[in-house]
Amino acid sequence: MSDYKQDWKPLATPVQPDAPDAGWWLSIYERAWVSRAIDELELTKGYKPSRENPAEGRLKFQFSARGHEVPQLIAAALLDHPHDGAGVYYRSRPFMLGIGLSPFACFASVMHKTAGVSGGRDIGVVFNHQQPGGVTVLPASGDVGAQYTPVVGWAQSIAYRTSRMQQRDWDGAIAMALGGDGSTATNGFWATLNIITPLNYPMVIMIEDNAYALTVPLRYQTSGRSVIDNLASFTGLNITTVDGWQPHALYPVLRDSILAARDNGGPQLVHVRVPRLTGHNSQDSQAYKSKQELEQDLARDPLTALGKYLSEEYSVDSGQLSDIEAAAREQVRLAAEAAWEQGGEPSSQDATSHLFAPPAMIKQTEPKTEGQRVTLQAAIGQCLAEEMERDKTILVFGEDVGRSGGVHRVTDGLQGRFGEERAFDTSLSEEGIVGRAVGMAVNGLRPVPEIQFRKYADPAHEQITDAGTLRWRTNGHFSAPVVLRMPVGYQKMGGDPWHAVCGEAVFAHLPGWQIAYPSNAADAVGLLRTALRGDDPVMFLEHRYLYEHASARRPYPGPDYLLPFGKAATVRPGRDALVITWGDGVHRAAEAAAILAESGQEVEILDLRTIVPYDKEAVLAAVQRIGKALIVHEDNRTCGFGAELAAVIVGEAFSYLDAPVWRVAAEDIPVPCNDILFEAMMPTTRKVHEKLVELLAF
Amino acid sequence: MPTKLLIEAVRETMHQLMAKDDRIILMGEDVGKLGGVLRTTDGLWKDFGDKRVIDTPLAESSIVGAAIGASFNGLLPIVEIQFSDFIMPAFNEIVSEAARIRYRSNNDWNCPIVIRAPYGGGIHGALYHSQSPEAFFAHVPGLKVVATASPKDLKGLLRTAVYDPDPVMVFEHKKAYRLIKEDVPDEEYDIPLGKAEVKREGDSLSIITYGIMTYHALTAAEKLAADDINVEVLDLRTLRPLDTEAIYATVQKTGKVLIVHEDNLTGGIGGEIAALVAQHCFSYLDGPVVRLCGPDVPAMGFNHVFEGEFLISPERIEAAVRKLAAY
Repeated sequence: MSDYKQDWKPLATPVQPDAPDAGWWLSIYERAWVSRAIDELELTKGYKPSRENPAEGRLKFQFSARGHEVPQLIAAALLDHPHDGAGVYYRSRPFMLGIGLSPFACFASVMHKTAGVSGGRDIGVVFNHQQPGGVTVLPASGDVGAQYTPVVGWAQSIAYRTSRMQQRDWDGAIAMALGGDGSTATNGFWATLNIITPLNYPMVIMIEDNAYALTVPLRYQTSGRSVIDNLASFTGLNITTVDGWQPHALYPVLRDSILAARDNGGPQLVHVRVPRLTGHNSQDSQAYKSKQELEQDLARDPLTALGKYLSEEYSVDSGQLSDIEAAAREQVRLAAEAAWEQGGEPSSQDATSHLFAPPAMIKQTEPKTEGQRVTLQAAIGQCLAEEMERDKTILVFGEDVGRSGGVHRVTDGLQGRFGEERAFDTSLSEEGIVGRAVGMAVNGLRPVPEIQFRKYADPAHEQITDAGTLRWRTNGHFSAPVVLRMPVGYQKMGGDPWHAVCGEAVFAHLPGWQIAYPSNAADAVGLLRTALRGDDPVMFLEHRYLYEHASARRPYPGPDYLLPFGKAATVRPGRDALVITWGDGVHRAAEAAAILAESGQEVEILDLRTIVPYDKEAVLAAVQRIGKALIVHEDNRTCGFGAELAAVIVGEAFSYLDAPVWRVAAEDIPVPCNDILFEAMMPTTRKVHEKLVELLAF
Repeated sequence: MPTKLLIEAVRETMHQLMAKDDRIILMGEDVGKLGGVLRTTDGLWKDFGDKRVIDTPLAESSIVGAAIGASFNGLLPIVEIQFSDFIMPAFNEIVSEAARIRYRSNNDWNCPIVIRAPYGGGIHGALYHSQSPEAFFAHVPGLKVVATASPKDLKGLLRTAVYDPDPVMVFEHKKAYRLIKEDVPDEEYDIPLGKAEVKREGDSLSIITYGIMTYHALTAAEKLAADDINVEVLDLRTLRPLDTEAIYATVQKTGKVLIVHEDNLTGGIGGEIAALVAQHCFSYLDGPVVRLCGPDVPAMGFNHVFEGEFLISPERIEAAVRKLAAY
């Protein structure tokens, strides 16, 4: 809303085949001066951040884009398609001004006001933006290089909407990623190149090369003059290098790259050399640059060069140029005052809002309990197929999930039934898989990526973290409802360090993700269907031993069965001791309880079914009723989710406890391959039984 | 004995260690010529050169991966992650490779690296410069995890970490860098990993904490003493391995426990401590184990209202103590 406080419009106009006229160039020049004036005002007294005395300045940090303005604004002016999507980084404010973010909103953002792009949550140059009929700026990240793979997801969504969904209004849309030269060292950059080139996605990457990553010069980043030169032989990537201080060359390069991408010309990389006229941020004085370098930077200021180009080629007189500069400064001054006065302060209650979508009214339906029992693996596959039939926006992908049907066979047959666009194999980069899923979800599709084994989610930890915080950090403007499936735990042959990890506790500590961890086929179907209709990212953890094991088989619960998150199930009632568990632990506990029942001791088993949210009410009620609790899980003990439950029990049901809260969990080692070592590590039925005997006797 | 800020202790300890042992190298973003964005490595590049103080490309997975390999070769690498928030891209290298090489090679290999990372908030760093990710690593078998705000402790712990034969994460509270000043001996010394320290004795109630919260707890304790509430403050210093002996000793002494950390509540290290107490000190407990922790949102927001809402102040600790003391 705040963006429209001032009359501030996107620069984009339909792209002309010929050289732009003076008016077009002047609009770039005006906006470049607005950006420059913002950067300069932010470093004046009253605004300038002061580490020693934070009350002195209105800003806590200043990140300048001086030197980067002109190429970014030209790119913004060329993004004229209503479904274009862009990924940006912390030096992208000129681009944001170009696509329609007002100076008022820019200032409100850096002054951490409610009218800022994150409502005061993020530092003010970590952008996101949506506007009717204009470019969508995907939620940026504060991590360098993390912007790339989500943009890939946007590009893929365009391809999917045009070719598969036949949405003609998406024809010609592109995705564009902006990044600095330093970010070309990141995994996200390389994952992006490896996805977009073989698939020929409509994507443009603009690398703004200012020769420094923070303070470290290029020679420490890559061999030769630039990493982009080293990409020359990359098949399927059209690379152009241009100097930002040569406007006559800059415009055709950006225009041609963007038009080529729009016209099925495939991925484009524009390498723009720019000077960085100020340090990484206001605390960086660029003392590490030589005098000669600093002078050369100034001589190459693209804004000065554009002014000169306008006078020489378009006969704009110097008075008009000075007027533009003066008007920009005045406009910026007013915007800054307005943002400070009217930007709004959040209330303390706002700090915890927008972590999740408002709870959906999922009504639990009754599962069918008759019919042939199906395996967990087949049930998940069937549910996916039914949901894909119902919802054309669902896409299933991952390593080997397409043609072969997945190493766990869960996605078997989906590619044959729904085609390669909806069930596909990916490159071997988990960061790429999760990042593109985020971009697709932001685009409005419903991605269901599979991580082949839980351990292999660790390379994607950054994208997973960012997906979880996305709603919160955009003040609720965006969400990324990705359903991230991954097999966890051991299987019938045992385990090993790479394929048998559970690891739910790490995810439970990441704010913003919901976590399902079903123990049987019927629950899995109900939870998966609920996940696919929700508005938040969900980890869907599937236990490998239970995939085929008889104990997890259930009659297929039906094509409409929904099970809400956060509802535990009492799978066995009892009065003498309580076991709280999930996943495979439910079956270990059931075996132990059956043994104890022979001697008349009644153990209750509570299956949490979902870890985030978990059914705290049911946990506390059962503890209060029974007084003795044992927690069983297959993840490592220390800092496992059992610790959290024990802490909650001893914190909130302390006076009801008749015994210590015990945990039977995997020992604190990686999962061993040898069977003897494996048994020693795992929370086996024997260990659960022994601990229950001890607890019952307490 | 000279008093030093935490940041001085960090810098001088590395300098002292590197001057004596050529095997120690330092790697990270901007650690060289600039001396680190937070100035933690200032002067090291000048004194030890760019073969030992290495500015790296901007890819944390590569920095940690290279350090792992260098450690196999006999070096003792110290990696600086510029802000602990940026550690996520290196997550796999840390938890899959560094942490597990000894176990999965049946003790044939080991990985003596140190990963230093400034953590925590209170400097208006917002989401990407304020996080406390220590609990992720405290869950991982094969890692040792230090978290401190004490200049005196940092010096001894960092030396121990460098010479520890296994990977050690050292989280330094960045707000404390220029806030906490203590007497720090000039000579080298070791503080063993896994040893907590009672920073204040008391018998009414125990606060178990670490990092800058130790200092907030001490401030609160002073005020509470006036009302005859004598708080014992246990500074964990190491989060993995936990000093369970010291934890149980203080709980058995006072019977009431307040756990304080800045990291998010759910899944934080406080859960593990509470679980251990519930398991091993059950019969000594005179009240519920209470946790006072960061709320379950990504991190503190940029706006001062958000930051204030997230951060735990001495006043909030004091209030929590009063409530628990009255139980």
